[in-house]
Amino acid sequence: MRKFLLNRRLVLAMALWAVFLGVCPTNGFAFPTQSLASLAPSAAREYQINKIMDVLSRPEARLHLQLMKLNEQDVRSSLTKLDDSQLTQVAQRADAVKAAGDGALGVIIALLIITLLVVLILRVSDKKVVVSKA
Amino acid sequence: MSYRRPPPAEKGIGSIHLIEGVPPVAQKAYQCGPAAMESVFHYWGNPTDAAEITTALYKPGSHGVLDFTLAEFARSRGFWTQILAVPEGENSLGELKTWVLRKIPPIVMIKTGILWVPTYHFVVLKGFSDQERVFYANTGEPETYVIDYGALASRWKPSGNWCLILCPPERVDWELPESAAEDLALYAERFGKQDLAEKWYLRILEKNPANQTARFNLGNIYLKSNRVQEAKIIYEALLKEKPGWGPAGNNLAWIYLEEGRASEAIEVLQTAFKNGAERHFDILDTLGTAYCRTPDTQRGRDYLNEALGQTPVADKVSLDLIHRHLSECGVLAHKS
Repeated sequence: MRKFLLNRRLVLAMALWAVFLGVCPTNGFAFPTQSLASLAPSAAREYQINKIMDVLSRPEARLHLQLMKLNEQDVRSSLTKLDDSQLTQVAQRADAVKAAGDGALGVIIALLIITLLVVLILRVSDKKVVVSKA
Repeated sequence: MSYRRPPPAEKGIGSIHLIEGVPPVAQKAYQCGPAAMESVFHYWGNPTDAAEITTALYKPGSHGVLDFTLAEFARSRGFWTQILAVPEGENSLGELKTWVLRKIPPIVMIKTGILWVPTYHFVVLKGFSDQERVFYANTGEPETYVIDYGALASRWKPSGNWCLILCPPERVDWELPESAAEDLALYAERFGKQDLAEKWYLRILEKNPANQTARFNLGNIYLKSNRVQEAKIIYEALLKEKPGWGPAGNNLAWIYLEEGRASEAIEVLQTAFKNGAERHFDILDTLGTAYCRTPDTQRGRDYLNEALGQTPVADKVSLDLIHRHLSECGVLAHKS
């Protein structure tokens, strides 16, 4: 019996088994929740993106996007890359468009605000324009 | 009518404020945005070629860029950004001068088209002279130009007085509205600048001690910097105010688990769920892991499986971690 228990291979196997059972999980337990933006929990991101896309689907915005040769997919893709606070800022500007209303003045205001969202950049034409004294 | 002209040969003494080291960058077609950004990036010691910015921002064939993508690109390069719509009025140009005096060159959007054709252009303002009533600007040409106050004001207005500020987050030394301060603190934290984040969270809480998000995030800063007791105090206080707030419960439970106090971790999270906390996967994972440290390992595996079901498929890191916890739970079950 003593010889059996002192068998080197048996002792080694039992030692390894004890180590295996005693090993603590690596990298600790679970993971803490990361810091939050005060606005827009992740569940609201999709809502905000849809709100912005709703504004950009207005006829005046669509024309602007067409002139820029950007499609709605490009815009949505850009929006998904924004972090929560940046997305909220853009969504707030989209809210301003909605608040402008649908009347003539509302369309003008909406157009102005939409141009803040969608910038049209053309080749600088000033080189060909008559220079006058400022 | 051009809005810009070369600077005068002789400058008035004592009336010029100029930021040195903001080089004019000649732009290519449709790329005044990248040219402006190259100029400002260079000033901040982060030289980035306009072509690289163009590749990142422009889809081939497109003739424009979304303004917030400029800001987003700058953020990806470690800059903090603010897009401002400066209120109209007598002092709107004064706001731009303030940025110059702070040695922070603003990028402004001005209208360069005529009549109803809306074309816009980005320029970088890097100086001004009240005596001559001009701003010094990088306008996409290889040399500096001046823009008269009146010309700038009239061309800036159609863009809604749009202005982009970008600078290293450490450089922000002016008062910010609470939402912008939160944005900066969170941005600093995510870029690993814990000291800066802590400074801004404390500033927010000086003015608004009730800001729960700022308190929670400050708790996280303490946790990351091993000030566990300070973090615990914050999470416990938040849970007293909002017993169903999952994030605070999760992080307090996480601390308890690290301290080997599984039953207390379970109590915190079960209380949070009873008070309406969302069954988010990270909380379920913590709860499952806690149960796996008790004889009730089967319950632990149940919660971990529920966590797996809640985890977005795209979140490979979380999925791998929860799978690992499940297999560790199996080992622990076998051991017991």
